[in-house]
This record gives sequence, structure tokens and C-alpha cells, in this order.
Amino acid sequence: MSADIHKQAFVTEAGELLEDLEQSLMELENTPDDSDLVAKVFRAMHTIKGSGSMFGFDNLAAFVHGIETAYDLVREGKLAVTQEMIENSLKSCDVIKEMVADESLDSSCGEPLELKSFFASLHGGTPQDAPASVSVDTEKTSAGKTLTTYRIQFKPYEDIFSRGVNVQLLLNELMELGECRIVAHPERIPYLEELESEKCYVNWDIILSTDKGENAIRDVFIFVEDDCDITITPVAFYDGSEVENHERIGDILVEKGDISRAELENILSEKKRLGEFLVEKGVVPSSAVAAALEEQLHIKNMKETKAKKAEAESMTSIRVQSDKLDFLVDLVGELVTVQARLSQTAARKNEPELLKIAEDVERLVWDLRDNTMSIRMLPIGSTFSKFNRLVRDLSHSLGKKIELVTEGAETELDKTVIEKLNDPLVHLIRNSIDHGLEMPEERKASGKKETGTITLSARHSGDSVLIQITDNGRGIDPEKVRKKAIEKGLIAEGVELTAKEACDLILAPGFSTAEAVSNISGRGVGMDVVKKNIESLKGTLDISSEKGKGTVISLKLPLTLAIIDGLLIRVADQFFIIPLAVVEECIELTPKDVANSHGRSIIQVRGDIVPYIKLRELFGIKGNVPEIQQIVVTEIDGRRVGFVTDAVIGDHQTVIKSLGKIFKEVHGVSGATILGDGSVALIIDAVKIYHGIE
Amino acid sequence: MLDIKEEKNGSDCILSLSGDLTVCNIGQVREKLMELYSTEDRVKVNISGESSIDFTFFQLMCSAHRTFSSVGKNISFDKKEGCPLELKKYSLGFSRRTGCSQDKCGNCLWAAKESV
Repeated sequence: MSADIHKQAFVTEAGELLEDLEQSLMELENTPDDSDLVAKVFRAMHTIKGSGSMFGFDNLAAFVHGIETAYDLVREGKLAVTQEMIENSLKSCDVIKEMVADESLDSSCGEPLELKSFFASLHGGTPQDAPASVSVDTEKTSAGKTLTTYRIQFKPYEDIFSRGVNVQLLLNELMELGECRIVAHPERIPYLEELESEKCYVNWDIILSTDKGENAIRDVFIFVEDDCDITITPVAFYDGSEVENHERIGDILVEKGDISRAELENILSEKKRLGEFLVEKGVVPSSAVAAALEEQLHIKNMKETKAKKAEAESMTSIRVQSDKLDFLVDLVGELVTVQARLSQTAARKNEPELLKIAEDVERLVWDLRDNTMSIRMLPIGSTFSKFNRLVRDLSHSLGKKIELVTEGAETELDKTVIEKLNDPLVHLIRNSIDHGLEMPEERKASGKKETGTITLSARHSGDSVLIQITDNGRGIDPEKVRKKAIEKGLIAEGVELTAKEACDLILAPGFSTAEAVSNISGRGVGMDVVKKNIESLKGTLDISSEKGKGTVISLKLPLTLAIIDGLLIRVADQFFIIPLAVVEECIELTPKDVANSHGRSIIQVRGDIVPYIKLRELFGIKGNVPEIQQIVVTEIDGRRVGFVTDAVIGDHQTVIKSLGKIFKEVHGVSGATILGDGSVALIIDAVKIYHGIE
Repeated sequence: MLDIKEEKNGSDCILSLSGDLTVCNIGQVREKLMELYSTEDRVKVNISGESSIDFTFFQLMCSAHRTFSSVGKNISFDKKEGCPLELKKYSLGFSRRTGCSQDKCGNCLWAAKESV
């Protein structure tokens, strides 16, 4: 059970590592000499291999081994990064993803074998070369890193400088790994006369607290391991366990081998301050005591800091299965329904004590709802970052130069919305690359930069999120669209199209303006599907374009799909919910208003004419019409539209329930919710009703 | 590039070192310190004109300090014009509370009381 949990943790972290790895590889493609990026790629490969092996992904570890070896050679300056290497590394990421998803997959045939052979050829090995025993970090690996204090005893050989080693850089690298104290031991430095100033007479004790693991420390010394003695000893963990009690200097000196336990006991019996006494007696040099004191102080400080931060850190983030979160949201939804029932019962009984309880429960449930929904909110950046690879691959295969710019990656959206948004966005970006952006020569000829830009942006807009895909390509040519539409029989000959109408036609089923069907943007059946997908998320899709300048595709999406604020209304004995997000105001519709409109469904609201739709007629509901009806005025696509109802009950926490496949052909209703008394209220899809009537 | 200058200031000899105090030039500095060791009792080293310093300079100064101290002579940093060693001292592990066992005179170049 525990192994499964760690395996799952590895799968999750491998996904994150691969995302970072892809990003690093793409950056490395532009700056192949960046040693930091090379180190980053190497470490990512190393971690995937080590952790994979630890959790039984042996095929994966064997596959990654060759790639890691190649990047190790790059680190050592023995191999240069090539375009082919990057290309194959990115393909390897895809293979790794598949191997993480299915650990039984191996690399004995097909593309994995080709990739393995490629990397083997770089380091002179064979594709069969696999790690005899994959080294596994001694610390908890990516599945659960632990902050550990290490004592690093670094004794360079005297001639280390003649090999071009800069000790300062090594120490700097160690300092980057975590909280670090460095103590130099200068005792062996001779007098000027004997000093050979290009030699090294100093050794160091470094006390380092890091969660990066021992391998990360060894990596620092990887280039100098033949020029020095290195001893790395974990001396304290901060997960509750501890190697030994290192708070006493004597213990530290004994463990380091500076003195024996017997010598320590002997000295201690004389009851003097140990550090001074040891130096005075000439048992240890003062720098050894200084190092021990530093270590003692460091661990003490780390423990204190850790204790102070422990509570805060534990609250910073925890990893929870998303299924559990979905279940929590479902439960909150049920609770909201029950709470509504309680409030209704309390109101009916009109007992002060019960009313007070109902109010308290209502307040708590609302807070619970808001908090639970906020847990499901994720930044859209994780989705955005995936498109770098898409843009890179497509621009290479089409020979176009494209830059992807992302804005508002921190904008948060419900997890479910984000998950369902991926495919539509992929399609839209593919379309922009294939149809929108021109070839470099064409761009140059029209006075544009050779490199086209696709901007992917996200921002909050009221209770929605606005996502825009903007390209600075050729734009949509209304004339071309018109001809194609006539050809397809979508419009009659002689019909002129405005730019907006041309854009709308693009969304018609089966419409494609591509001269040739390509494997990039498909066969022209996509845009209507994309539109439907966005609408299934209760969102809208809008295209605006200017010929020669570019195209903007705007997606407006709700923040969440689970619970919304709604306005509860009644027509005869039927209840409906109108999403509060579109509601502007409620006004009365009197017989005088009806008479003034002379049979047209319009009303004057503070000088403005507002058309209205009678829900009673729309849904074919019979019964007596009250003398004074209510109009719920909404704003849809920038226009005001009223919905006529018998009565407005009030606001309602609406837990959205799907109507199921049987009702998928029912237009004007986007779902249902259960009211406090157990009855069902349909949720009105105001946008669809308006568009249907328009 | 390294520039070495010396001048007398009372009983002190001020040794001004400018440029790269690194492994490439450190031999020249050692030679100069050896020379001053034989002729001077009090040397102040001014490194305000340095452009880069590496570990070998620290090692050399340690050696010079214990050499001078062994015969009761004095060598220290000239602090009047500032001394850019503080950060390096820490990152190379030379920062310390008290001098090492070779610090016979108790005036270690790197000890806190001798903040350079």
C-alpha cells in the first residue's frame, strides 16, 4: 500500500519533472552553451532514472541511463549539444511519459530503441548498455525529500590548482544547495620560505543543510573527484529522526576521528571547557574545534528555525488526489442542498431558535463552499506551458518561425474547466499556426517580421475568465470565406459578408479555408467542435480578425462548473434558475407596459428599449398569468434582454446537476438543481435562448 | 595583471597590491613578501586596488602572517581605504572567532576582532 503511494507520488512528480525538462530542452536549443541548463537537464534525467529505479520502473531507468550519460558528457565539455540531440531528447520525453504511464513498456523496439541507439552512439556505448545497478540516492528521493545536514570533509590534493580547479566555485555551488557553514583548516600552511604558492595546503569542513540529497553534493565535486578526498556524512535529519545526538562538541570530534572516545573521556574527567582544553593539550588544532563549534551551532540553529517553520511549512502545500477533491466538492454540493432545505423549513416553522441555527449553518456552508471551490482553482499556466512544445514542433515541421508569448499564466480557473480546455486550445493554436501565420518569406514580403507571434493570454473578467489566442498573421479574408461558403452551399451567390460574418462562418460545421488538408489543423471539422466544447463548459467563443493584421480568438469561461450563484424564479408551479452572473436587475411588467408595447415584446427601461422573452410561452407552461409579472433583465453579448416570469424568489446557491444524455437535445436549459424541498429547478441557458431567438 | 608598490609610512611599510591577486600572479606577491620579511618589521598590505582575488591569496597571507609572527614581526591589512575581503573570507571558510594554533601573537588576519 505504502509502495503504491510512493509509486503514485513518483508518477506525479515525474510528470512535473518532464514538464520542466521539456522547457529546459527548448531553452537549451536556443542557448546550447548554457552550462546551467545542461546541468538542469542532467539532474532531471538523473532524478527520473534514480527515482524510477527505486519504484520499480526498471525499463524506464534503463532507457534514461543512456540519455543521462550523454548529458554527463556534455557537462564535462566532451560533447556538444546539437539540434539532433535536442530533437531526440524531446522525443525521449514523450517515450518517458509513456513509460511512466505504463511501466511494462520497454525500449527494445521501435522509436525507443532508435532513441536509445542514438544516445548510445554519442557516448560510445551500445543500446543494451544499462546501469548494472542504478545508483539510488540515500536520502528520500523525489517522492519525499528530507532536509538533512551533511558534514562534508573536503581535502584537495596539493596540486589541485595546476588542474585549473577553482575552489571558490565549488564552495559557491555548495552554498547554492542550502544553508551552509564553511570552515577552512589552515594549519598545514607552511612558512613563506617553504610555501609553494600555487599549491593547496588547506582542507575544509563544510556543514550543509539541504533537501537536495547526497547526489547533488557529489555532483558539485564530480569534476574534481580525482583531485581530492571527499567524505560526506549525514549528521542530522529534520524529519524527527537523527543519526546521533550532535549537540556536543566531543561527540562531533569523536565521530570525525579527530580524537578517540578514550581521549575524550580522559580530558572530560579534568572538568575544563572542552574546546579550550583540547587545544591547550594539543590534541586537536583550534580550527577543528572551530569547525565542531560551527557544526554544533548550525544544527542547533537549523533545528530552531525548522521548529518555528514547521507549522507554517506544513500548511504551505499538501498533495491530495484530485478524486478526493472532486468527492469533497460533491459533498459540499449535497450540503448546500440540505442547508437550503433547513433554511426553508426554519422559515416555514418560524421558530426563532431554529431560524438562528439555520442562519448559522447557512453562513458556515457558504464559507465552506467558497473555500472548497478555491481549493479546486488552479493557475492556467500549467496548461499554457505545454504549448511551448506544440508551437516548437509545429513551427519546425512547417518551416515557420513562431514565437509563443504567454500572459496571465497565474490566472486561476476551476480544475475541471482547465482539464477540458486543453483540447480546444490545442486545436485553436494549431489553426493559428497552420492558417494564420505566414511563411517567413511571405511575412517579409508584406513588411512584417519573419518571426510570427502567437500570444496566449488569460485574465479575469467579472465572474469569468477571458482567454485569448492572438496571432499577427494574415488574418481572415472575408472574400475568401465568402467564395468558400458559396462553394459549400452555405450562403447564396451575391451575398456580401462583413468581417464579423466571415468569422462566424468559420465556426460553421465542415467549413475549411485551407487550400490543402494538412495534418496540422485537421480537415476543417474542428472549429464547430471547438465551439461546442467551449459551450459545453458554459463558455463562449468569439473570433475577430483583420485581413493582413491577424486574428483574435476569445474564449470566455466560467470560473467554476460545480456551484454557481443563481436567481430562483417561478413560472406557474415550475421553478427555474437564471445564473446571477448575467442578471442585471428585476423590474415589473404591468398590463400598462404590455399595452404600451402594442403587441411587441419590448419594454422601456429608463429610456432604453429592452426586448423580452416570455418563459411561460417558451416552455409551454399553462395556467393563469398574474396581473403583474416580473422581468429579469440580463446582459448577453453586450445587449440587454429580459426574461418574463411570474415571480422572483431570490438568490440561490445552485449546485449544478447534469441533465444526462436523454435531455441533450433540449435547448435553453443547461442543467438542473435540487431545491430545499426536494423539487427540481431547471437552470436557464440565457445565452442559448437569446441566440436561438435572435 | 598585477601591480606591486611599496612605500614607507613612519615605521610601517605599506604594500599596495593592485590587479589580479590570483594563482597566476601569486608567486610574485610571495616573492615581494619574502623580501619585506627580511627588511621590514611592520608591513601593512593594501588591496583596495584589487580586481580579483582567489583562495591562493588567502593562503599566502596566512603563511606570511605566521612567518612574520614567528619572529615577532607584524603583518596586517591596511584598513584605511577599505578592504574587500569580507565576503570572500566567509565563503572560503576563513572567517573565524579566534586565530588558529599558529596564531602565536593572537592577531589572526581573519578573526572577527581583526575585521578587515
